[in-house]
Amino acid sequence: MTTLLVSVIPIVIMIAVLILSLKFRLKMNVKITHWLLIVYVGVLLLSLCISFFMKSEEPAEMVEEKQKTDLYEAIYSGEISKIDTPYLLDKNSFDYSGESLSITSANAEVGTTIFIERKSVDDNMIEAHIYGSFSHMNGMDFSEKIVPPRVKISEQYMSIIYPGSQVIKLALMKNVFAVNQITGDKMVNGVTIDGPIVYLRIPQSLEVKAGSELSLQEVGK
Amino acid sequence: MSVIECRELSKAYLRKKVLNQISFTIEENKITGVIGRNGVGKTTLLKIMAGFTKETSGEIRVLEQRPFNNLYTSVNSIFVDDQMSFPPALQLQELLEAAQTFYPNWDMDFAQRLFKYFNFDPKHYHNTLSKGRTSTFNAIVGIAARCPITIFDEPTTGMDEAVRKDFYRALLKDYIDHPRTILISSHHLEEMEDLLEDVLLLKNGKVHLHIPISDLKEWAIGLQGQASSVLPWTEGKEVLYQNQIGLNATYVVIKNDLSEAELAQARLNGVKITPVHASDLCIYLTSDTKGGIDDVFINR
Amino acid sequence: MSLSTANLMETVKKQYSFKLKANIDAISSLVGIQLVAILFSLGGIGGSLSSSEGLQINFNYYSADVVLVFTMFWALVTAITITTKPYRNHDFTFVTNRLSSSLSNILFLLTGSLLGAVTANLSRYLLQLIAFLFRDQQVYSGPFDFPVFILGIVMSALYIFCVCSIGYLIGALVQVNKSFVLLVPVLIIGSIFLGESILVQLFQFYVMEPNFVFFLIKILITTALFFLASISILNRMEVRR
Repeated sequence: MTTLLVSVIPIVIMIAVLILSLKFRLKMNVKITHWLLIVYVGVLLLSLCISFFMKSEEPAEMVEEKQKTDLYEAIYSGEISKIDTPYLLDKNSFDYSGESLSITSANAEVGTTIFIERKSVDDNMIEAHIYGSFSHMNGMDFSEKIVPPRVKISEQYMSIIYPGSQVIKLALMKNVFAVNQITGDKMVNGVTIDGPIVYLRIPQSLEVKAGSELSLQEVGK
Repeated sequence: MSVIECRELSKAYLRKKVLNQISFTIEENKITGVIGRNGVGKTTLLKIMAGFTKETSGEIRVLEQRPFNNLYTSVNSIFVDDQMSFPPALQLQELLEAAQTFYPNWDMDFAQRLFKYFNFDPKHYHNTLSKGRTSTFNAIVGIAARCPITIFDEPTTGMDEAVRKDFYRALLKDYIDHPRTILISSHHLEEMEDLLEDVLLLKNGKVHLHIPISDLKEWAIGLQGQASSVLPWTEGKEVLYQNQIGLNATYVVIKNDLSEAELAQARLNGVKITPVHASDLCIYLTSDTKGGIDDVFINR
Repeated sequence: MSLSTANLMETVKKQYSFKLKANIDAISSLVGIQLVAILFSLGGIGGSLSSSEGLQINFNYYSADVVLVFTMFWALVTAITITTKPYRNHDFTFVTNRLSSSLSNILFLLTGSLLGAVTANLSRYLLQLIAFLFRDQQVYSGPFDFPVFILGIVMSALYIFCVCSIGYLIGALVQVNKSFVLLVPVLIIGSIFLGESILVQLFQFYVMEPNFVFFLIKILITTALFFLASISILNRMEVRR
């Protein structure tokens, strides 16, 4: 509603300018400069109006809480699965009754960490959570642009297929430096990216092995 | 009431003295011609009156106030010359409208009629006007502003003769309806003779003469005849101008202080006595030599 | 003929509206310079960031910074221009004194600064539109934040107006003595090469000030001092010599 209201203001201003210019034309000779200025300001106001309608494809505003919680802190404490976090990109659960599990990966960077949380019970159930974030300080969350790794289980193998080094291209509009000076917005510092992180919740006594390219990290102990 | 008073007013640019301790008073609602050779300080004097430039020493009072940087003087005076500067972005019509907002006595109807009479296009721009047209437009602004002190510095520069006559006539007619103090500097004294009341003659940075034009017309006489009969009359008098005509005849101009009897005697001696035109007299008075340009050609 | 009295504020008001019309060309050059700046801004500034998990982000930042800087340059040139002889002589054709001439000039510059600030801040939306239409790039700009928008206009106007006061002072100095035409650039370039710390300090004093109130006080005092100095210099100047 407010967006609609705000988008109406420039239109009102433009109409007012047009009416005023028409009224004054009767009195004085409007020169090229006047028209140049009127057209220029008109185009600027028009693009302001259009920018309100171009917003449809823009991501939703970030949840306030997301900026406050530190993703890694929540992961290491083993608490992340218990809270409803907007960092969550993807979630799968698998029935698994074996005693050990080998994790293989594709397209993983060397040293990629897999986080493992042991549940307090043996419920023959493996949950794979994918966490990650990509947000910009001016209140936008582009996390949905991240392609999460796919997790599959067949027999005693779990394969995690990373999408490879993914490059996301993004164009961002910044405020002028005169504003950033007051708001404290910086050029790149405003951007945070994390993940994608694979986080597994496994039954208590399940034995987990992994290839050398992956390092397993147990959390929440 | 005197509207302009100068006491020992001096002006120097760098070290060069342009005005040297001049003193005079100009009465309200008089039309005064400021006459003098080029570079004698006419423009400087007028610009000090308008508050454009600052006096170096001495005192000047315009409407009983010092004109430099004075809003009161500015609103009650206008300075017109061919250097008058108008913004190039405004059309002539808009310039008239601008003048109207600034000058409280501005008569727009009168300005428009002059504008139309001189065939100006309201949509033209000031910087595209020719020299004479510029002067004409500036003069319109100067007359229609109806400032209590109106200063014209060489207002007729570039105007053709018909326009010059129109200008003087328009100025006189408007002056009769709306009397004001007018100062005009010009080279064309003979054209202005009917207009002027007073003449302020500057020479070498000083006021040489400041008298009514009627007095100026009788201020000097010319004596013409055989040198032997003319020259005795000039003894003990200041010869303003002397010129040899033919072999023996000569023409001299002296101050008109001969008595009727002396004049009659002179005529008997074969001396032709003629009045001297004000404009000629001004040339003689402001000249540094007695014979004018002819001096260059004698005794070579 | 009846004598008229002149009121300073009335005269300034008349001169101000006269200058809005007379200096209209300055406004068209503002539009021109901003259009050029928008053209320069279309490339944006690139940046890149990657996570340890192999996620890489390539940004392209767009902003109206260049437009604002160009507008400040315009302000400098315009302020210098209106101190030059022809412009001062325009005033003296009509009713003026030196104070009213300067005050109306400052009002004109303030108007230009506000106009420049508004258009510079609006130009980001035009940039966004052009990038979308002609470069097929959706530029995210976040939610429209009205207070920040107003802050942008106010801050920009303060910068532009301050630059105006610098230009006006330079112009006034040049009018006193033509040697300042050479001296001012020599001083500026000299300070860049020699006194680098001075520039850094100036930058920190104004551009790095994060507190709006402090910034406001700093820049308004600076602007006022520059204008006062110019007024007192121009107050003694003769015209149409």
